Amino acid sequence: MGASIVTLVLGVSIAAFFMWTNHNGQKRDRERDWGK
Amino acid sequence: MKLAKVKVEYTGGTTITERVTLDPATGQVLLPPRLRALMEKMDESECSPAFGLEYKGFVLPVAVLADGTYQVSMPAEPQSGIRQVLNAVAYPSKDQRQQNARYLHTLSAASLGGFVGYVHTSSSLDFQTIVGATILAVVGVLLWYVGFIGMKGD
Repeated sequence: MGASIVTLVLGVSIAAFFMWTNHNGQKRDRERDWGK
Repeated sequence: MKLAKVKVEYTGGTTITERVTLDPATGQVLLPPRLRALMEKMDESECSPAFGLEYKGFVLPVAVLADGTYQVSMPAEPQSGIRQVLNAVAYPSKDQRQQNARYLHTLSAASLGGFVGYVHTSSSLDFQTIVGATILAVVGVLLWYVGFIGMKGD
């Protein structure tokens, strides 16, 4: 059970981290396009 | 003084691309007389254009000051050392986002492969097996979805 919880936490953490970086990158691209 | 590319876009669809002189220290932009004359002529029949200057990957809006000169606000200089590395990870470019998405799809495939293997190797379908297999499947689908969003690229 412990291993399953670790797998879940790790998977969700990886997903959340890459969603965050993806959002940051898109935001920076938009700011560059608009010259902000 | 440096040369920089500017683009003047009018609502009617006319776009003028020209090179200007830029002072990076002050942000002052010196337009060639040809471009000034063209813009004055266009102003007779067009609305105010979108006036942008390309500098180090940025498109900076060019503002007209009260004395008739042109100015851009210069972007901050990039940081150095570990902050630059962290900055590159936290703010990936479009291509880097695509690579991250591919990596997530690899992890997703591994997770779903693990799910199938886990179910097939378990002798009985008890509670622990069901929970473990479900978590692997959920993580596989979640990673696929986040990778899918990252592949969008816009």
